[in-house]
Amino acid sequence: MQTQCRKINVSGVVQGVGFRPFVYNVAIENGLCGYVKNAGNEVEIVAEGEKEELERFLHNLYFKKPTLSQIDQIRTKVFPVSGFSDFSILNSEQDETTNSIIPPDTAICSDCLQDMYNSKDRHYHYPFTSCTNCGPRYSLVSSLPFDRENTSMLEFPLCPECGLDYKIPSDRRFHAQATCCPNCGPVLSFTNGSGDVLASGHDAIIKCSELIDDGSIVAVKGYGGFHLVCDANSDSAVLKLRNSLDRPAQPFAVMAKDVGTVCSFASISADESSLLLSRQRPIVVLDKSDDLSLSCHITPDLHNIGVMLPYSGTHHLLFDNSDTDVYVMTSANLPGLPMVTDNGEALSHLERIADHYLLHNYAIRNRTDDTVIRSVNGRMAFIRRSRGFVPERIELPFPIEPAIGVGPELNTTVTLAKKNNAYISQYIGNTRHFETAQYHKQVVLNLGQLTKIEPGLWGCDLHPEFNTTRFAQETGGDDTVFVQHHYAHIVSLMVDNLLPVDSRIIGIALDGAGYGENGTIWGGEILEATYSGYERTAHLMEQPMPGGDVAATYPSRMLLGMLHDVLEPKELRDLPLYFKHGEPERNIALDQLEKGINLARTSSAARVLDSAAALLGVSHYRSYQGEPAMKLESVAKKSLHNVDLPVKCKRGVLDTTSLLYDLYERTDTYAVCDLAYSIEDTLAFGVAELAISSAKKRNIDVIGLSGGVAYNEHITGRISEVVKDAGFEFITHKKIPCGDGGVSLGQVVVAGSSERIS
Amino acid sequence: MSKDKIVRMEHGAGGEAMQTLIRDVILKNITNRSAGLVGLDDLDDGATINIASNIHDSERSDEIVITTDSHVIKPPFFPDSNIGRLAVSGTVNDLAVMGAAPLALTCAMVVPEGFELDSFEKIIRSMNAAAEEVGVPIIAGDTKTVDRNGLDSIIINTTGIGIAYEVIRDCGLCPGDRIILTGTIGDHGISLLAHREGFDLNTDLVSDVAPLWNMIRSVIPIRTIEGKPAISAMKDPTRGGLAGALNEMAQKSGTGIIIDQKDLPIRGSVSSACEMLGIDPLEVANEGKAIICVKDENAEEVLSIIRKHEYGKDAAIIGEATDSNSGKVLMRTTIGSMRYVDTPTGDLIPRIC
Ligand SMILES: [Fe+3]
Ligand SMILES: [Mg+2]
Ligand SMILES: [Zn+2]
Ligand SMILES: [Zn+2]
Repeated sequence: MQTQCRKINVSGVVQGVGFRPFVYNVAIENGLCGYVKNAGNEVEIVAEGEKEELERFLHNLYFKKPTLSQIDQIRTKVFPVSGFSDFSILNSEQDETTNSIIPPDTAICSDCLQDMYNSKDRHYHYPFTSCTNCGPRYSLVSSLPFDRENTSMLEFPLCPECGLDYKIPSDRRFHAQATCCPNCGPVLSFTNGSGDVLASGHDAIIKCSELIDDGSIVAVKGYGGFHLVCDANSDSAVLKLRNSLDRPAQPFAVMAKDVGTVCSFASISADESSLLLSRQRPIVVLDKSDDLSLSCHITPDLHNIGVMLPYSGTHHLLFDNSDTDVYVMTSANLPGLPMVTDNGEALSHLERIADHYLLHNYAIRNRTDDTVIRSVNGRMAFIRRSRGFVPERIELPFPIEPAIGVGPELNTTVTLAKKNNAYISQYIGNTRHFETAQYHKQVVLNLGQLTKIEPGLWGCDLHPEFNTTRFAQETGGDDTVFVQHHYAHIVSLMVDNLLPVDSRIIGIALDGAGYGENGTIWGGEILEATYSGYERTAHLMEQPMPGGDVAATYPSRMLLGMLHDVLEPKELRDLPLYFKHGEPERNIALDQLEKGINLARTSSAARVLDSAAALLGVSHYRSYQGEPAMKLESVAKKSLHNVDLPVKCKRGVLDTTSLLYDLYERTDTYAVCDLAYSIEDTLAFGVAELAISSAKKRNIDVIGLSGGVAYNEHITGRISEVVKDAGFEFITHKKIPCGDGGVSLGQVVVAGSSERIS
Repeated sequence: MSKDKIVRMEHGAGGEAMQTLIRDVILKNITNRSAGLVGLDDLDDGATINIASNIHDSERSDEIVITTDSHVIKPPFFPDSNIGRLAVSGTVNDLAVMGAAPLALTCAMVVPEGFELDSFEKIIRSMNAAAEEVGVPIIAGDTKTVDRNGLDSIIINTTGIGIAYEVIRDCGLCPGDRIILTGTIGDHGISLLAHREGFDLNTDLVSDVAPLWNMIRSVIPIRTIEGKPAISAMKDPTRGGLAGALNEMAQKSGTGIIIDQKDLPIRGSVSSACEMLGIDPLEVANEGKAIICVKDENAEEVLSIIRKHEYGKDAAIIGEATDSNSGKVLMRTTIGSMRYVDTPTGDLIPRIC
């Protein structure tokens, strides 16, 4: 038999996942010689052996790949035989790159947990143990290739024992870049508010769990940033946290010890359970049990609760030592600012919030908030796509030019893309705030470094006052491509469904606010969309917002705007509404409407739901994003029968004033929950009808839904039902958030496939 | 976003639209735009005319400062004041913030047929009172009347001539300089709006219109230890409000500005009125306030002198100029984060999702 040689390049998630050791083992098994190395962000293999062995090798390479790896492409070419005497793992090579990327952070694996619980193992009670199959990745790395010196572990040289694990090909810590042990790795310390160390190592865990049990609020440093942690059963601890964060109602996520514990306070489907247990360990939004055992202040007035399971060694050890089996676990950040990632910053920023700190001493390179997923209409929908998923590759249905989408303002992400590959960043937050806008710039830089994509086109929102828009204009200059907000939502939906380049769909974008081409604020739009453009075929009625944004914060004002033309002055004054400044404010808002002073106009669907929430007395103040509409949804869940409300459309405009008026007329006759259900139902039905009529007129057979309102299970379900009943194909999001976290993907695709501006 | 090619109200609102109009239509078509140190291109509060070298100091010359302003305000009478006081104060203040003592004013009026004579006289008396306050003569004038269909209220133009030993610009801000605001923001704009539209704000809020020369003259001579002028820049935050004025200063000076929301002097009634109307108080016009930028070492001294004056009793240090974020204005908000203070666009564009 004749010896042959192949050069094999593998791209995908192939670094930091034990891929080279895996290749080594497979090569040895098949008696091959040669080498494997990281080249840029690919893995390069040169293998020599007999033809059959080489074929078996290639087969195994693909079908036996390591748990965390993902192979996007294998390129093989014939190479001259050079007579290697063995197979070796070579050091990485700095190189220009193609399209591989490091993996996301992953929950500690069962093998590592076993080591952590084995008193004979040197990793006993050591929470930072990890292997090629688990542990933090994206949050640790500052540049490629994924080698120890490019991660935060750089400061922790391997001890001889860890060095040995690292070198033995059969060990699961073989070339695990983040491997460490108590002799060489990071340490935990438990401090008071001034940073004085009260305990370290395993004692820090014991002390910390003790104090959480006693009602303390502890800032715990984790994979991608700090959490604020307290006992979820304790009203006083939860309220203390609410007050100090100045978050009167924003739902807190919890972490439960195990699935059994989750079942004690929430109902959980098989899909939800496997999602909770998945290695990404997202927060899953679950329906609360009727007899919620936890503090009622965790998600006030909502029917659901965000739950996750322990994902780091530290989490497991804390629960082991704690009497508490459910913790509140919320990202540690001041309003508007990014989550805290640095020890010093934590001590100063969280001074008035945290009683104690559980710190570790390695640096977090990429901040990653927890991912939040909710089951909507039988599918899993990303509310926030971050830890565990970022920076996974998103496949594009067609190749585009190197480009970036900088996102909108709130809940923004950025997306870098080139050819068929897009990389959506972690959740960034509200870039209205300067600090978050700075963080946004940092993410653009870091993600650029990790993906090696140099954008030539800059997609941004049409809103002239967004910091992200300005940033794109300043950096992108003439290569800036303005993409209307809802069009970006719809394009992200098309990409998410891998619709081919020549697709045409009717997209329904139901949303809070997006700057429209005509200078009004859109948010209830039916668009005929292709990848190269769109037409607004129908929309919700444009309604006055007395005072602009303040009408979004206080839905009572929005309701006055919607009913102003159809109610008598006395009826408007008699509506049981709340105004921050009392009755004088109602009069001023009515005066504004009368005289047309400082009014903006919006066709937003969210504002319609907000108004209904105000009318039904469900919510009068928005203290967090989506609050009125979310509370409305929770109330509607209790409904037993639907109240019929007529839908009125004229020339592609759904009359939301008459919708609200019809609701108003029935407020004395029906239960609040039934009315809440009806307004959602009727709005959904009306919007679906508009979309169907557009689709018929334009001979289009696919109708899709995107935008933040699509998180509403009832609305999405109803639209889907009506659209499918009419014989159309209905698409929703799969891997991309339907909220503003997905907008940057839409922007990048529009920018990257637009003709270059000359 | 394409709008008709006509003059819109925003073009006169002091925001970005007006700056575009000035740059792209006015400056482009006027060829001779300077007669001294400060000319039309500088878009400062006024301009200077170089007359002759200073006899005491050959390095420097006294500058004649000239400024002009047309005043249209609806209604011409508003809480505690009227267009007459406004017309004199506006021009005196434009001179004052360039460091110039007012020497003389001229006044041109366009009055619609049917305007009440009593009201007209009241306006003239208010002009006189304001001029008397700072001792500036009104030495020439012009009066035109027009058809009531062509104009529905009085227009007053005043031109002022002043003299400055040392001209103070709106572009002289240096990193580290402290920014003093001489009083509460928004009083004029909000009281006027409430009065005009009949909003019941349930307060006795009045306009702040006032000629500021007497207050400003008292701090102009202050020097640093090295003998340099303590005041590096001044501006009056009229149209476009504090936000507009600070942005202009930051852009022209090439520095950043950081202000602290908690230090901003603002009346409770103005702040609640702004909340009820959905208006940013930083964008509301003032007619009796100045922004005075001072070297750090002199800040407290200047502040205490300003505070002694009746128009400056609510003065405060609201922020400072920075090296970073050149051309931009940031505000540390009361919730602890920072946000950009943008140049007002004159449009209300909601953004809350
Ligand atoms: Fe959106
Ligand atoms: Mg002026
Ligand atoms: Zn592991
Ligand atoms: Zn070790």
